[in-house]
Amino acid sequence: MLRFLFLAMMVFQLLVFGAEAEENPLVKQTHIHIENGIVYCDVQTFNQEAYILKVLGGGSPLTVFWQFDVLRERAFWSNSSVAVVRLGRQVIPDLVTKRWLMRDLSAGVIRYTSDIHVAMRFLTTMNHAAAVDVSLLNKQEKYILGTKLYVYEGEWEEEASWWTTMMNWGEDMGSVELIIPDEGAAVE
Amino acid sequence: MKVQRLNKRINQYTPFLATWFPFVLSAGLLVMTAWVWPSDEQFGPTFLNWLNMILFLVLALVAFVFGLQRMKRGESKRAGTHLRTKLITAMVLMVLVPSLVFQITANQVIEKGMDVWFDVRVDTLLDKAMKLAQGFYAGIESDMELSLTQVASDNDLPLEILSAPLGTMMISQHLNKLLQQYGWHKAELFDVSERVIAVVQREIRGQRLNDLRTRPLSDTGKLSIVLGHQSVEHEVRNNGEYVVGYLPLYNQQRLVALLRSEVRLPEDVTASARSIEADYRTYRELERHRQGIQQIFTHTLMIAMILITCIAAAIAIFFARKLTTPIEDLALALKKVEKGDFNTLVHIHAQDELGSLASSFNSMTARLKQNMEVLTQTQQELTGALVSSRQRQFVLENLLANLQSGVILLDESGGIRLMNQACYELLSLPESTLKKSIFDFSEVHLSPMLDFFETLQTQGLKSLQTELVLSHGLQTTKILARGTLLGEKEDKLFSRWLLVFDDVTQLADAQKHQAWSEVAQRLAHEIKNPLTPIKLSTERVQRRFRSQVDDVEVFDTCTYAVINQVERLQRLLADFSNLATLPKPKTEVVSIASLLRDMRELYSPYQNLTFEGLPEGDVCCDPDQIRQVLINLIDNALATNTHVRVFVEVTAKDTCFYVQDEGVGIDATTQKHMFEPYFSTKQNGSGLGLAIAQRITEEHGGQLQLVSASSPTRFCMWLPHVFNCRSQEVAA
Repeated sequence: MLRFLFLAMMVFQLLVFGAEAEENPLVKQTHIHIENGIVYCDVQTFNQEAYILKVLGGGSPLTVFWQFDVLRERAFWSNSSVAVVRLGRQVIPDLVTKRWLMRDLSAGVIRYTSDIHVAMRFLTTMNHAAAVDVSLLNKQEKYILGTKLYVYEGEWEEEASWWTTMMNWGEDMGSVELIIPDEGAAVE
Repeated sequence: MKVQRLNKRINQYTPFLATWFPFVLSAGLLVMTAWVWPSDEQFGPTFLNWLNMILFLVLALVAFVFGLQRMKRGESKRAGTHLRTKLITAMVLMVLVPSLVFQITANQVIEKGMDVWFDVRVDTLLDKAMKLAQGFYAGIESDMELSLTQVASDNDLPLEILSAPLGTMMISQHLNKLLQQYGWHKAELFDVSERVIAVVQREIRGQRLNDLRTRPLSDTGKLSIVLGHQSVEHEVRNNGEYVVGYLPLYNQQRLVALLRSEVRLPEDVTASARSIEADYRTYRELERHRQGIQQIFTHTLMIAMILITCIAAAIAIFFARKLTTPIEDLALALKKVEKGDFNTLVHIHAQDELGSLASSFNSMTARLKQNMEVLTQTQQELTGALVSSRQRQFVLENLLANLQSGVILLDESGGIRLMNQACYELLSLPESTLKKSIFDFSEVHLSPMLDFFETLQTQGLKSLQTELVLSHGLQTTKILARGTLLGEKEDKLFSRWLLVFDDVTQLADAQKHQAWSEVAQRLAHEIKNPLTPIKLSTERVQRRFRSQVDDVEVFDTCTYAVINQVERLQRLLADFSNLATLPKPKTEVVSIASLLRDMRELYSPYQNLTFEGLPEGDVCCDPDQIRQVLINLIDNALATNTHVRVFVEVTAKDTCFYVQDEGVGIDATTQKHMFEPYFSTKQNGSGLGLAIAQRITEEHGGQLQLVSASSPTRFCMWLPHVFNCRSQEVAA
């Protein structure tokens, strides 16, 4: 009976998630490079642009978090986490002055822009994000760098957002293989 | 008719529903789970979606497990399950259907409400209000930029800054003049090192002392210095909103100072603008999540509907169980009673109609049990009686079958209800003869029987006994017939008449023989004694007085006649004596051939007598007596002076000695009396020959019969093989 139930649930899950994945094809681009012993990641999402423009144009604040997970690949077990880096960015619109405040939550830098597209790109693009220090990684060993994007609409508060954080599983932005060569160059 | 058809359909599909309904419900709930799965575009928290989804999932799981359990236990076949299913389904539908209607109606209302809420006019109005607010801010900033442009074209201020020593009022007056001219609220001058050179400020209501402090340059201001062109920014401070303009002042391509001018926006206007902005933002959020809002209402209603339905289902299950449990008990009890368990009692749950039904059932079962016990007892008695009756019938049938007497049971109309085997034999009826009534006895030789019954019937006698003589062919049988009236006339179930027949032929013959033997013995005793003196006296007379008589011839004739008659009387008396005191046969195994050979030698002088064949085989008899029989038969045959044949037939059971002559035959009267003693057709015959022959034959267990009365006349002496043979007994 349990086996049948499990099978039914699996079929159900496949149906639901399959349909959802088909509706929202993921468009993303992730690159990594190593500079000065740091693995940097450039990632950009395209399928969120319209949504972000609409939200920002409507005057609602938006907060995004880019999460970079460096995983050590294991053959017969789940991959072990080596490092997790979470970088946040926020845009708060000011409609009456037609300005959008862009805040880097990780660095604390604030900037205004009067161009909504700039604000949108501020959220949808994460360039030169330091993902992991090379010293944490073994050479010639295979790692996987996975990227996830968490988008929160409205005022985002660190302490009061546990429910929102729990319910938001994020959007998978893809993953790239990472092998540190002897010379220190990244190989994708 | 339609209602009946509908009921028939419902009853037809109820077992199917009872079995598969939980699985169908589970599938439906899973579909609902998929439907309420929260989407990314949904407005606000997806808590309601998750709650609905979890509710549906749990209900689906419960329904599925419930269905599996039912299927495993085969509950759909249990009594009362169908009724319970119907009740639960009906009660759930009673709640579910209105809830669904309410849900659909509410959805429609919400959708219409949404259309009204997000009306185009509201949208346009908000856009216009927003543009108005933006225009106000843009106007202020534009004014600031324009004023800064005008100030930039004025070369007096840079010269004054360069020429006038610090602390003089010249620069302040100039700034004050600009303040008045452009409506600024504050004007500040910074040198290249971002130090304040001069500050002019207009009094603002509600301004605090702290507000008089010079604020450091913002990034925009610093950027303006670096880039060397004017800039305007909007600042939101604690005490209000400001439009701040930065203008680098140059003298001969050299940066002299940075002018910062501020215009404080009117509080009421900014408050209105911010309110418009907040409303606009809220409206856009709502508009963006219009579907989500609708879903919130839908899910809230759905949760309410699910909860109501669950409560209704729980109540339905509770009441259905309460209602169907007594019915189920009754059905189970009925099945037990059907199987013969009359000790079944139903628990009375309540004093309602079902309780009354259970009580009635219990009393009915008790009565049934009582009746069954009576029935069982009666059955046992009947079985005993039947067995006894069968035994009696068996005994009676065996008795009747083995009875030598013929028995006939007749009903009122003379119909035969029973006729035993002895009766068939007595009446010389073949076994295949089927007589339904005594009136079917149409054979000639059975007419005395018919007369006997008619006498019994017509005269209304309760019993009648008479002796009948049945003549069948050459055989004459004496029957003692007794008839008895049985039961009452009205009682048609039982037999009316009982007729009993006994063959008394041998008894009559024996009595006759006994009588004749007694007569013979007396005659022999009374006559034989005087005959000897008569004969002796006659011979003495003859010897003494023969010479003295005149007519010797007459004398001799007379005396001889006396002597001859006396001798004849003596022989006759000897025969009488033989008949009366015939000894028991001394049987032994005798060869048939030797018997015939002896007879052939005895009758060798007779040319007209032939013995045909000398068959092999033995016969158990007293040879002297059998020879006497054969001599009597052959003498009678030879008396016809025709050709006489003697032959023997040997079968597996008996031996038949035939003596045949070709005389004129034997008439009916002679046939009737020829075996009786002292009946003779010859003048000198004693009439004892055939009587003695028949008696000898019967003493051997055989029979002497006239098998052919007409020419050729044929007698048959039949002797059985199984007759007790003394020599065999001795040998054994």
